[in-house]
Amino acid sequence: MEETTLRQKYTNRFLRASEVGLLGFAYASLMSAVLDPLSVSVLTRLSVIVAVAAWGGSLIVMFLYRRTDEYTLSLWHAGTGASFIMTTLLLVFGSFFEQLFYSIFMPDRLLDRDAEFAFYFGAPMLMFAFYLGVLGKRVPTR
Amino acid sequence: MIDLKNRLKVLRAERDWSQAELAGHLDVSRQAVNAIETGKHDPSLPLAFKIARLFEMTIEEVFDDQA
Repeated sequence: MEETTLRQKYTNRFLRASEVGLLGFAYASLMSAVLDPLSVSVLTRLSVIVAVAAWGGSLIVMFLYRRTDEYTLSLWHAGTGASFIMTTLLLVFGSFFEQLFYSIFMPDRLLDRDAEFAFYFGAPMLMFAFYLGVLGKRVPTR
Repeated sequence: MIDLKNRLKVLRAERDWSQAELAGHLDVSRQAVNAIETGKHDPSLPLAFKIARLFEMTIEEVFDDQA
């Protein structure tokens, strides 16, 4: 029974880490997207640092405790699988769709730009896909 | 993809077990039991055998792939 209790504790740790990580990542991404880094207050900057640390720490916790249970392992695999799909889409089609976008909406700037969507947004999209995969696996269907 | 239905919730209720109690018997987490009952997770073969033996049934009596 003690081993099961430990397993339950580690499973809870994994699940809480996934929630903390998602919140931290979402907050840090949102702040990075909407705030001007030259004009933010110290408090806001600190909050983003804390969010990034929470996000990074939660990923480590999730990695360490992924094998606690076959369920936690399936959640981890769901996240990494979704992230892999996003990686493939970005690497194979990212540049194409970015150039297509510019050719349609900003043709005058097309030749001035390299394909940079994957460079700037690739990592956040991969992480977003990871958490979407984990969360999607947790939502009950019946 | 095969839609795997199971009678886990019914069998658990017949024995008046909580999800945590069933998880203890199966040596998995309570969330794993919940995920199996709600269809979010299909158990591995060893776990399916463990479940069937716990309830003294065959795997086919506990799980149905609706084939």
